[in-house]
Amino acid sequence: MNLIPRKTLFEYPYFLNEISFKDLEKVVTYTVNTWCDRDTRKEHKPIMIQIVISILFQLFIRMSANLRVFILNKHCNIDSDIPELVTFSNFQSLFSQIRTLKVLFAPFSKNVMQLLGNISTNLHCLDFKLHTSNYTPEVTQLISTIIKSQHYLSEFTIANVPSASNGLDSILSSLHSHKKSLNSLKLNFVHLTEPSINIINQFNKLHTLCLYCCGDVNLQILEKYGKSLKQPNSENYKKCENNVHSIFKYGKFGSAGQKDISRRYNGLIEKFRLHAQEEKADHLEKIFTSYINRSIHEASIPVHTRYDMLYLLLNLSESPLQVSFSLALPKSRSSKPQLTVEDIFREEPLTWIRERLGDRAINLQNSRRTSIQKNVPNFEQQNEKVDVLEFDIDHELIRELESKQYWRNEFRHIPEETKFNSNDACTLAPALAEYKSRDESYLFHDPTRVEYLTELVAIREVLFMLSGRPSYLFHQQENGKFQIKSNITLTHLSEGGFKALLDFFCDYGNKLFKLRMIASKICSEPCTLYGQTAQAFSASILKMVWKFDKLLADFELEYQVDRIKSRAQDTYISLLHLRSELMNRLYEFTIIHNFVEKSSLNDIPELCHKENTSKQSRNLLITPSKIAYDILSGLYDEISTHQTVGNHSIFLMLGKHLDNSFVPFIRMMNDWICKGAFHDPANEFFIVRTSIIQNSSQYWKEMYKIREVSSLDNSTSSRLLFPTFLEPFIGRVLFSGKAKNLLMSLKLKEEEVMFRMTFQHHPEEFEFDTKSLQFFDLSQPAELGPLNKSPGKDFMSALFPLWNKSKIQTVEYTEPRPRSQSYIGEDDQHLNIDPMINFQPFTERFREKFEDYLHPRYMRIGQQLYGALVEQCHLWRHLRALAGIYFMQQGESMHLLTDVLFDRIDKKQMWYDSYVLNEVVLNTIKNFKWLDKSSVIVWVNDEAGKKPNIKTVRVFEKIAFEYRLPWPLDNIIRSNTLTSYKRIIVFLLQVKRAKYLLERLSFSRNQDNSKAMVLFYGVRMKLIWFLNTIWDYAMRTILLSETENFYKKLEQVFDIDEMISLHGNYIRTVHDRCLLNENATPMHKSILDVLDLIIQFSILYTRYRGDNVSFYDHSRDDRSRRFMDDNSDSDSDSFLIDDDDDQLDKGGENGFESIVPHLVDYDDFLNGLCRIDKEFNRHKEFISNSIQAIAKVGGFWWFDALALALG
Amino acid sequence: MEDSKIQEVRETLDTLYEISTLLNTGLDRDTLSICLNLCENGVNPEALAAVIKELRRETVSLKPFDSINSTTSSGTSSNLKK
Repeated sequence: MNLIPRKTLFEYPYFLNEISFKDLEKVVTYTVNTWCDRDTRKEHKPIMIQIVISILFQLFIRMSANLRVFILNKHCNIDSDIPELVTFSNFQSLFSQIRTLKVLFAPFSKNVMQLLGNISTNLHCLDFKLHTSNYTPEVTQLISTIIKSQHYLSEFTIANVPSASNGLDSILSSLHSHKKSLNSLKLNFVHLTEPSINIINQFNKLHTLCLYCCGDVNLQILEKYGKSLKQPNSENYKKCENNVHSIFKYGKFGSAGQKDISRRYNGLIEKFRLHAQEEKADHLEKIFTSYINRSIHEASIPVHTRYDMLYLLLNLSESPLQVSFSLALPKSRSSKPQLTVEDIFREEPLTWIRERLGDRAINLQNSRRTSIQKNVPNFEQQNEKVDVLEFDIDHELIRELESKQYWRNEFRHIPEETKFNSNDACTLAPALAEYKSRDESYLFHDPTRVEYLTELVAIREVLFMLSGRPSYLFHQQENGKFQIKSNITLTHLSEGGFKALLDFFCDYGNKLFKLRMIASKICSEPCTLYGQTAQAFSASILKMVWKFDKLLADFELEYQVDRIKSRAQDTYISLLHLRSELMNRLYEFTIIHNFVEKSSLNDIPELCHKENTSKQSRNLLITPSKIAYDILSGLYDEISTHQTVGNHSIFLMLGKHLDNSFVPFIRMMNDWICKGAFHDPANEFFIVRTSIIQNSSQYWKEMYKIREVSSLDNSTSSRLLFPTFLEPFIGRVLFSGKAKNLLMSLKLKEEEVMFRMTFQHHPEEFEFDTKSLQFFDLSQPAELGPLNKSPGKDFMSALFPLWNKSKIQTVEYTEPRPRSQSYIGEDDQHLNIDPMINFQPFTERFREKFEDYLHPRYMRIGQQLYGALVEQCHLWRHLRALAGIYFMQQGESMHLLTDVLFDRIDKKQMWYDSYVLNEVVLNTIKNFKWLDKSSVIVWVNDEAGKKPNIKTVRVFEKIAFEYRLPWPLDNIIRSNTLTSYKRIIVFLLQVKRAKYLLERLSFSRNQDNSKAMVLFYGVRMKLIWFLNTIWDYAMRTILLSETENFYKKLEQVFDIDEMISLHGNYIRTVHDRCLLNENATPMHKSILDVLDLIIQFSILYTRYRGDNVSFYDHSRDDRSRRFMDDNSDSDSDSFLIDDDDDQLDKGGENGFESIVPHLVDYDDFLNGLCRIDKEFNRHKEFISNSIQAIAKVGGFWWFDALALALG
Repeated sequence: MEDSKIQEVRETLDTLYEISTLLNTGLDRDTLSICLNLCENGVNPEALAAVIKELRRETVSLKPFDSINSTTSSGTSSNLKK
């Protein structure tokens, strides 16, 4: 048998276990209503629904071989009837499968009746829930028939049987035949009669009997059945479970407030009391209170749960008054072991007594032990709470102890002997005091006021003071400074001697205290207040101080008590010894203290308890950057000094501080170089970012700068602020970061790839990544390899070369060092070095290693930047375009442009207008492959509509060519240099114009040997020669050669700053050499005058020759036209012809008329030529002499060459 | 569960059990611990009380049946022995 049909979707009915007619109706109705479009008529829908239902129902019934449950119910809103099923050929076989039949409120139509009449006889479960009205005698009869026809009926349910019809009796009587199989009977809304109950009584196998709203049921009758209904694991159990679920799910329960619950409990307690159950009430009150007030912590039960539980108990409580109560005995707790005397002495060995009392203490301890032990049996017998010590108050001992407490007010140690005994040093001070009291000069000296301490106490007091703790011997003032208390001395020292010793310690104590205070304060404030460097320095100081504290604590332990032991340990109780032990360490603190005093940290009143107003005003100037500068530069200088002096322990100590303090700067510097950005919360780094927009032409120069501060004496001037020792590197550091930033801005993917690759190829780059900063952590010097094995690896070892040599040196120098030189823990190894072996000046070493760090990065980033500029930004292309546009260096390209322009001028076409000029230029240059058309713009910098004076070359001064450079190239070729470019192109245009006019003059073929013509040819030759000289000089000698020079130099640099500088020099050079410098103005003016003379010359000749001579050499037109396309021609044709040129510019024209009249006859021509010749000679003389003079004075070879060429 | 938590719960249960006894709720320690667990998980105490009462009612009616069953089974076993 194929259990899995192939066409699952279509064989769906095979899987049907239960079918409900109502559900089918619902689904079909919804589907038809949804699917039918608006066009479907309303009245058709019910018919369609009926048809579909009918078809589907028949289909399901026919195909459902596994149908077990059949529910006949009906959707209220649909008037369809159950389809006629009896006619199916396989109806009997189909319905024989059904085990459960439910008829739920279905109208008993003909089809239903027919169906039920032919229903299967194998049903196990029957459920009839009909409307009361439906229980007609026929229906009742039908139900009875169905029941009787069944072979094995186990469950039966019926509802709503009306009492009048007496139908239930007949139905139940028909059920009687199933009394052996029926185990569930549910009767809802039925009227049970005595006969019915009797019948029910006979159902012995019933597990479930559900009577719901069966009015007249006598529960007593059912009592015996109730017992048999409850079987575990039966349906009752499930029912019970369902009940529980429904209670939780549907039950409506409120929640009582905590106060309400407490009130109810209090009420209950009160109730107990009222019923004379005091004990119960008390106990409940006690446990209730303790329960509620249990401490709340992580593991405890939440308060609301506590109240919930109480509320639960209240709800479950059943007549609590009737419960008998007997107070349960508290649990016997495991009794603690009896404390013995041995335990007490073990915990507290009373060494402090022994120290003070010596042997007496031992005796005392023994006597105390015995006395306590005596009392122990007593204690055990009586088993009462008796304070043992009350029996054993030794007033003498207490007095003794009190007498040793020198800090008490009533402490007075009066020496027994005031006479000096040379064998007993302790008689010195009392004897001196006695002596003083007798002396008149010490009139007010009261020897009884003097307090005598032991030296051990004094040592401890000194240790306390040094570690910043309050002490008896030193009075601490409000500002934290220590002061020695007077009238306290040692018995074996003079007061002055003791004071001198204490002064020494007090001085250092104050310095230490100040360092502690400043460092703690700086570290506790946010880093933005004093800066990260200040914090790093402070942390370094604190670390040193803590190490010193540890040393003091060790001393304290060493001087601890046990004399016998101390004898064995050779501990000297001596202030002088202590001084010698601490001397080196205290000296180091003095150095640091003096350094702090000198630095700007000392000027911050909040740090130093200063209330000086003048200081506060200065405080405004103390910025984190200033502090950082002071600390780093100061430390560097100090280190150099101490190394030079040979003070190596101080050198190393300061080196460590510099190392620690430099970390924030190094981190920022590394970020800056590697990422092109840095995080500087306190604004202390020596590079600052301004508010310049990223993509502006000011970006490179202005966006990131070296920090500047205005100097105190003059607010206008400012100076750069960075650690002085970084001066040789500062430019490169700035450049590297800026270049990185620029590269990042360009978002060059190729650059990223390169970056990674370079990292792979240059592993040392990693060292100054985040990991590399750990090299500054000197707490792990053991991990650092010897310097010679990993050159450049450890930056700090670079700064302090001697440190890492220790391992090598310790082998050679194994002499045990005195304790005083040890610098705590890990630093010890640095001190065994013979300083002369590896001496190298710190400054030099620093520079060398910093160079090792910086230079490769600088080079690499620079090269990356250069590559990006060339490849991504097309630097060279733009530079050549610049030279092409402004210096006419791209072959004949620009010459063609000028030809077009001059042709237009000569044809009197419109050209002196920004739009026209722009159009002309763009039309011409669009064929230039080396130039991007959109980057060039030309305009006339003159009043709109003004007519140009073409009789002078100065007209071109108003024309401006602009080549727009893209970002970031506009940062290299800056706008101020473009002005020079513009001036040069104007000058070239002027020369070119004159040249153009001269070259295009045409001559008659007739031989004219008149004097004037001879002169004309002569003058023309001179002018051509002059022009060519100037042109050659400008174009070849200067522009071409300098441009080539510039390119060569530019190829060798990558630093944008250098590029800017080179370009600036280049443009300044060509500008000056083209005689455009202010100092060369007379010569420039003279040249322009010559150029104007040439214009006059050409006009003079043209007018002299008159109409019979063409002004133009048309053979040249052809050449220029070859480079102009049709559009440009048509455009030029469309322009207005500038006919009234002469009329409009009357002023200039009149002046010109006086020089060159409209009608030129032979005499005018001759005179004009003579005048031009004369003026030219004069100008030429002036120019050549001036240039020669300048060349001689300045030694300028190029001017020399020009002067030589000009004769 | 950590020791502190166990200790805390144990002490709380002790106290609750005492109160429960005083109030004659008829809850044993195990039931009480279940109730505490349920309440900690947010069950409404009043609903829980209702359920407990319901279950009790069910249990009460079950007991005679159990006794019958036990007598029957003991009878069977005694018969078997015979």
